[in-house]
Amino acid sequence: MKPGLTNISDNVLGSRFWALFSKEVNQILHNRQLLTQLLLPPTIFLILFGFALTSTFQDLKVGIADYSQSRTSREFIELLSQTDAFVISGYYTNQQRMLADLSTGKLIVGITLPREFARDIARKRTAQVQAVFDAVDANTAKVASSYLSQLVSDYNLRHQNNFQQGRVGSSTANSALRQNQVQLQTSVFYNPGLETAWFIVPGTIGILMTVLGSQTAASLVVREKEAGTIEQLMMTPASSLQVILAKVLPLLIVLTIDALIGLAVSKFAFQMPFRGNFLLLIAISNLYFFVGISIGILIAIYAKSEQQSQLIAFFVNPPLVLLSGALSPIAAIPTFMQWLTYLDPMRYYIEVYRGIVLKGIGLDVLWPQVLILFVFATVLLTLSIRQFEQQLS
Amino acid sequence: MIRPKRIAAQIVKELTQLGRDRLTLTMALGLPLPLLLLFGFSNSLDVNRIDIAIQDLDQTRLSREYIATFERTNKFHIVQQGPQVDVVQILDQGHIYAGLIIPPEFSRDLQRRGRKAQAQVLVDGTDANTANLVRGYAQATTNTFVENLQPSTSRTPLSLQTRLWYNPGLQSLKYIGPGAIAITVTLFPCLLAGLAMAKEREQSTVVQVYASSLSGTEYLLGKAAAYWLVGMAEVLIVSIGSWCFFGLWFAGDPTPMILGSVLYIACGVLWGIFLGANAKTQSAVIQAVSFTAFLLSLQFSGYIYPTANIPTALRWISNIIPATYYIILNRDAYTRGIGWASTWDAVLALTLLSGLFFFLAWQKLQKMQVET
Amino acid sequence: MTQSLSAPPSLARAPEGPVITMRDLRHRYHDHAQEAVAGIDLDIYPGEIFGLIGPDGAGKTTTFQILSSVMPQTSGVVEVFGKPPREMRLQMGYLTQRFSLYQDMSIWENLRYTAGLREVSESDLNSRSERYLQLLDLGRFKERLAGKLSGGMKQKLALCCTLIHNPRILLLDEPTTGVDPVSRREFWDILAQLAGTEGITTVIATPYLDEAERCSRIAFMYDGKIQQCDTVAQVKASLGVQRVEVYMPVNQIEQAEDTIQHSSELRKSISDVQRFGDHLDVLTQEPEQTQSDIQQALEAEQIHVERFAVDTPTLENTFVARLRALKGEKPAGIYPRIYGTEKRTGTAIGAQQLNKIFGKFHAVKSLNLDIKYGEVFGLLGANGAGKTTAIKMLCGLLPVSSGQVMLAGETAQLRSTAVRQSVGYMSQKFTLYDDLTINQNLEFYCGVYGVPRQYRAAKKRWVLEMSDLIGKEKLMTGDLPGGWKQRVAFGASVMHEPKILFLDEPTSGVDALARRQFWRWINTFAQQGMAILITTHYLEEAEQCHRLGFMVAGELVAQGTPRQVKAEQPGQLVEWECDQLQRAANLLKQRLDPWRVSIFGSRLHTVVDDPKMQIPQIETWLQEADIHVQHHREIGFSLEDVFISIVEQARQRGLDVPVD
Repeated sequence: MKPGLTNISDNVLGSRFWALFSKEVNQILHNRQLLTQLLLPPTIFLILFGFALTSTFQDLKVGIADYSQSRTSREFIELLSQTDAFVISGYYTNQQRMLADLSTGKLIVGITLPREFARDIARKRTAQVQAVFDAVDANTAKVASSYLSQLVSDYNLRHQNNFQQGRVGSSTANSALRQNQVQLQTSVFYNPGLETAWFIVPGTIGILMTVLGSQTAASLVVREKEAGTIEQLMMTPASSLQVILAKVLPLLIVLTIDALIGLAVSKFAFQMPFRGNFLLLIAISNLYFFVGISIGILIAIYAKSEQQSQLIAFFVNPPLVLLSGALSPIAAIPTFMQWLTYLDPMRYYIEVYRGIVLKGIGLDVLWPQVLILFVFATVLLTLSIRQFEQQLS
Repeated sequence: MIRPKRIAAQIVKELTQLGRDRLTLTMALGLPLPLLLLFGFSNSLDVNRIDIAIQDLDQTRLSREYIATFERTNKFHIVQQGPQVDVVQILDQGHIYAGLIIPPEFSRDLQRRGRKAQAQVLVDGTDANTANLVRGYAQATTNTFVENLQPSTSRTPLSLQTRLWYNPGLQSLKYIGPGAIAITVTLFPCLLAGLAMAKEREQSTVVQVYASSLSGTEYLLGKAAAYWLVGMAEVLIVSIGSWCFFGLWFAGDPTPMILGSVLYIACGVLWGIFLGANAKTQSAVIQAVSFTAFLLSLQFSGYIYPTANIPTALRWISNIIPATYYIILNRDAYTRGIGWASTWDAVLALTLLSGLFFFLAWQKLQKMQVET
Repeated sequence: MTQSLSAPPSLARAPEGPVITMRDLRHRYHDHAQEAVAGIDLDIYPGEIFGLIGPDGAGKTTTFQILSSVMPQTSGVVEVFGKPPREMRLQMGYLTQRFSLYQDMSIWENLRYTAGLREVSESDLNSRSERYLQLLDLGRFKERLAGKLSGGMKQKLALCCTLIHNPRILLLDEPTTGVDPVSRREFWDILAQLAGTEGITTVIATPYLDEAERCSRIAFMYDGKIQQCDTVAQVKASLGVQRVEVYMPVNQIEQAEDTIQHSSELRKSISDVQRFGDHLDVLTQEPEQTQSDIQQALEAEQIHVERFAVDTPTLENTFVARLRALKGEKPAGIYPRIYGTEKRTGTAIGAQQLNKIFGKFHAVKSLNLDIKYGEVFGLLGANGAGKTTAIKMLCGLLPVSSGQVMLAGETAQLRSTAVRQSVGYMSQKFTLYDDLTINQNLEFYCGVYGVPRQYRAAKKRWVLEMSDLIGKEKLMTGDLPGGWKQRVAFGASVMHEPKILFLDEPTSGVDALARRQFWRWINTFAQQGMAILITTHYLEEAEQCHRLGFMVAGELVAQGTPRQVKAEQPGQLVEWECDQLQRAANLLKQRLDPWRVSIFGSRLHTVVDDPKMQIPQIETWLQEADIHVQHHREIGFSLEDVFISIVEQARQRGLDVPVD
């Protein structure tokens, strides 16, 4: 080897930081359990959540009590079974029995067609259809009722058209002649197939990065405290900054690997696109990891034992997750709590993640979020290093 | 052979230790309430304010009327409007969920017979659920606008009478609240029991237990009973919290729920003990608990999304999660109020699950010797 | 029945037959190639105090775990009262090496729990805890948390917990490791009393061989096998040698040891030379001849022998000699130096009016120290006297409440990189990372102290040689027995050639042979100009310190060279050799002040103010009690005597020995 090269390798591999760094890496490598925890659950949970958490409602169970028993009523019922939204789980001759099934949760909605149904339609009177919803799950009930309303209005529209056609006469009749029509064209951006997974997966990645980062960092620091080796470490010439950075760096690497796994899962399991700049995402992700890790270190500093640190993490993480808009839209949170979401760094990371991956936008649009993340990272890291130093004296 | 005195000694010891650890105790009894509120209030899918930007290129009476219809719905909140608004850019920035573009010929086309007026909505599809809602609301708003234009004399063939049972106001809280109770009490009984197990192994105080003639069953029952008591205290605190803050109250016979609580907490504690007996370190337990007990319960129990929404291939996970059944019992107690008729199967399922978890933990603890 | 040390084997083996039987007992851990226990045959009889001694990693703890049935053996038979130990758990009390207490529960709660596990009735619990807490002097602290007790008290409480269900067998795995000499004696007095009055059979392991002398029988374990098993007297006699104590100026002892060791002429008649405190123990069959030979050989080296004394060998002599024979003598190796040994002069560690107050607790009171480069300073004191707190302040880990510290010439920036680079520190426990291999630990300490890469191999090699771990560097540190870990930790703390070294109980749990090697290195480093501050509970080691400080309740109550502190002791020390040692001690403690009487190995030490009057008096007392005195002599104080008497005197002055 050339002397210059030897020098460089000596300077790097012989340095204090390298010693601290390789110690951390070795400790992580020896800790199978930790490694598995860092790499396995993220993959599994990403897949599970991505597939399972669909908010599209399908196969809502409908019960029908058809007292009319006519061709018209069967036509209407046929309409119901044609949509994906509903599935008819039972026909009842008795409304009471249907409602009993509704009350035990076997049905979401019970529809009663009255005896006069066919007659009313034929006489061009307004026929009454009664729908009873199990509204325990307000959300499902709301969706089901809006689906049903839509169905009914479709039915009406079709009948009205027939009716108008009949009145105006066959020669000039044309539905296109109607006045006052607005055609609303909807274009769905970023996620034209309206895949729920595309929303859930980035959110889950954000959650995993935060939870894993903070818990693991807390665990690594507090373990050293608990074992008493921290004292020995503080007697070495290494500075607090070196000690902390040496703990952070291997975690950054592992979390980056996690992020890559996450991207791979999104691509292959959910066919999620990647529309933005890959390197930008990794860079900003690393910036965000600092936030999670710093939170972990701060927790560890205040905890006496591993158990305590993890309990504090449980205190800190759920609010971060719930206020981040990771799994449910921020707009769904009550307004007074929406203000709190601005204090949640994860909110910005998820915005950035979705922005880069789904929208394909870059720093020109995302710079405010990145700036905020940068401030969070700097403040938290500085704080944790300062506290770390203070605590040791 | 089970000797109650030894179990009692074990219970007293566990509770003494827990009482010493002020932080853990405070967390275990104090944390559920804030968590409950957080869960109750933040986990709703109701988008109650959709931010929208409108680019009005028409700028006529009719287009303004159209925009006003959007304003009147209370669903939409117009962030920006005017001819210069760049809807796509605002969408990119993530400030709005949807953008409406009204083309220049809007008013003319609307009034001309045989022409359809066009309007375009751009919806942010990242959140598919919200996107669906937005799309529906936009369509409904447009319909309203059109209807208002023509004081229609024509009669509708069909009218739908909708009745919403159990929760006529469609309050999310009545749905989320009982679920939040269940989710909130999921974490700590399981976590504390698991940690107590792992801690004794980690600090090798367990060797003393092995050296005594305590049997595995006694050890298990003692530990489980102690943390079960803590869990029940938590159930009480959380229930009171939900009465006060969510305004929930029993809609009918609460006995299935009460029996369910007993079983549910037992499930959690036993599962925690099983995990703790298998883990090498306390941190491993915490990870295992947070993933298996907490996250799975959160997402697969039908707490936010009904279990029916979960793809069939994964639905079995819901069926082995105790929280699924406990949530059913809670919803029945607080919202539906039917009682045993609709809940006996959930209680049965919880009984079976707690039996299963007991068996798992029991089997693991049979040896009562150091592993070599 | 009173168990006496000199009881012949026939008396120890009571006619009832053994209570514990082991036949070809073997155990192998699943990930190890070697058997930890490799075929043990042993019988232990009722009422015995049976000692298990051996170097680190000999298989003692494994044996205890199998005996107490917390771990199944791989093969072989163990029987307790003729049954598998698992069925006899209620008849046994097992005290594990560490952590047998719940630190977050009070004394009373710990007792109540252990009693509850064994279904001790409420009334039995009350009466027994009353009695044992009284006996162990813990009654006053019933409500105190176990975690807040001093090391000695913790062990006493642990013993109390093992006794609460009235077991007939006690299994004690190193119960006195890390416990100060005063507390250790109290602990053994209680054991002797239990064996005597209650007929409890005790199996005990200990690294302190002076304690082991009080056992009725001992088994010497090495490599998972029992090498020798007999009464202490027989074990000692089996060497077939006499011990010649050779006194000379302390700083020449090592040189003298090497001279004798390497003189082929002398080696013919001498079987072993061991340093013990302030003198050399020479084991020989011909004491007279050897004395003159040694005199000659040492005179030639300009070493002046002050005096000789002839005696029987101690158990420690026997142990070290046997171990040396089994292991073979290894060369000490050479400490690889990178930096020159330019000597610094002046004060290395200084303290002026140093105080530390934790809340209401005054942990260190007005400490003044001045330790020069090249000096070994020993800080001695009972558990909880404030030694560790003092060390932490001196090396800058703990801020001082008031006063000033000077470290390596710095007074303000104790935590600067330059200072830390020149300081080595070995904390009481936990210096190494359990989850790294030995090699990775050493690599880490090399790197973090900036040892240049080309020198690291040599440095690591030295540590491995020194700690006898060549070829085992890939082992996980956590799997090492405690004593071995200490050796590696010691090596790791000096690899960067510090100028100042803090050693907090470095030899705790280390076997007798390895401790001697430790001290060779400590002396070598001091000669090369290193300032060393050390704490230890082995007071014979402390004789090798240049200066000593005794701490009691946070105060430095005595300071000086070992000879000075010994000379300052009032009274005369008289050593007695008699039968029924324990009874004799108990008797004399009633007649004299209790602190004046203590058991040293197989001897009794008494401190008397007026030898001419009191010696005949004591003889009469003993004779009246039917205790046969074989021999007595007036001897100089050992440091251990000094320690006991200083602690006692301080106690009498009203300095309460703190419990935290």
